[in-house]
Amino acid sequence: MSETRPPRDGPDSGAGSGRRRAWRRRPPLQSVGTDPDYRFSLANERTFLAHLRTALALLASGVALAQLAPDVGDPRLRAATSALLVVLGLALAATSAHRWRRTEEALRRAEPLPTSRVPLLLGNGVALAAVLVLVAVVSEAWA
Amino acid sequence: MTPAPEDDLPDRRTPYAAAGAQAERTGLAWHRTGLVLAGTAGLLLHASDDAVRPLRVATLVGLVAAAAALLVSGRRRSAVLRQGVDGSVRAPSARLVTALGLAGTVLGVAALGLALDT
Repeated sequence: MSETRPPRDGPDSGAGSGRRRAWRRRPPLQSVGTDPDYRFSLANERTFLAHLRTALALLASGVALAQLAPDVGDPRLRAATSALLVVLGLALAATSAHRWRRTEEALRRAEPLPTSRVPLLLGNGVALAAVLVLVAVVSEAWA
Repeated sequence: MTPAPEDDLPDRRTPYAAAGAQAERTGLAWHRTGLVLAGTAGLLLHASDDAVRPLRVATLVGLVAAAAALLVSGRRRSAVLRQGVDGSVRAPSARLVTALGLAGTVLGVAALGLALDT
């Protein structure tokens, strides 16, 4: 999907060091395609920021569940739920920049936007975490 | 025929006004993200009182990255967007976006350590 083409006038063209070229496999964003409609570019930027905020909210939820609610439910269930939330947030944070880059390149090339399984995984993961928290709370109330 | 009174007012549907709204929304999104980054890092720092030293160091790194993102990136990006509402708005630096993603990842690793440390 992410075909790369040589940059038109980037610093890596010509006699750049091999190590630096290996580190930056992708060409500079400005050398890919043409400038898209600024509204799409800004929407992509806001989507990236929204992904990052969602990831941070998941991280905060997981840590708060693990550290600030020591009496809620079975300890193993609580630890599993908090780990699930944190892993979801970690995966979202780690992939958000890559997703922004892919979408921006597709916009600049006027290609269809890339699809992603992240929303599906995120939705299912959060739903599972909600069920686990519900089980923990209900079991705590009935204990 | 007498024109309607509203015809004398600036048309808020003009591209310039639309671009200004887009830039404002995007600038606010940067500030929100910076605040959430700082808040999350603060929460992790608060929750890591009894944690091992590497976790606290990782959290501190995330906190510094959050403060940098809040103070530098958001303000600069907002200024760029305000000046570029004529349509010459460019995407943010790929390095900046990658750095923000890395900051979130560092916080995620620290959070995972805290979640498994209980």
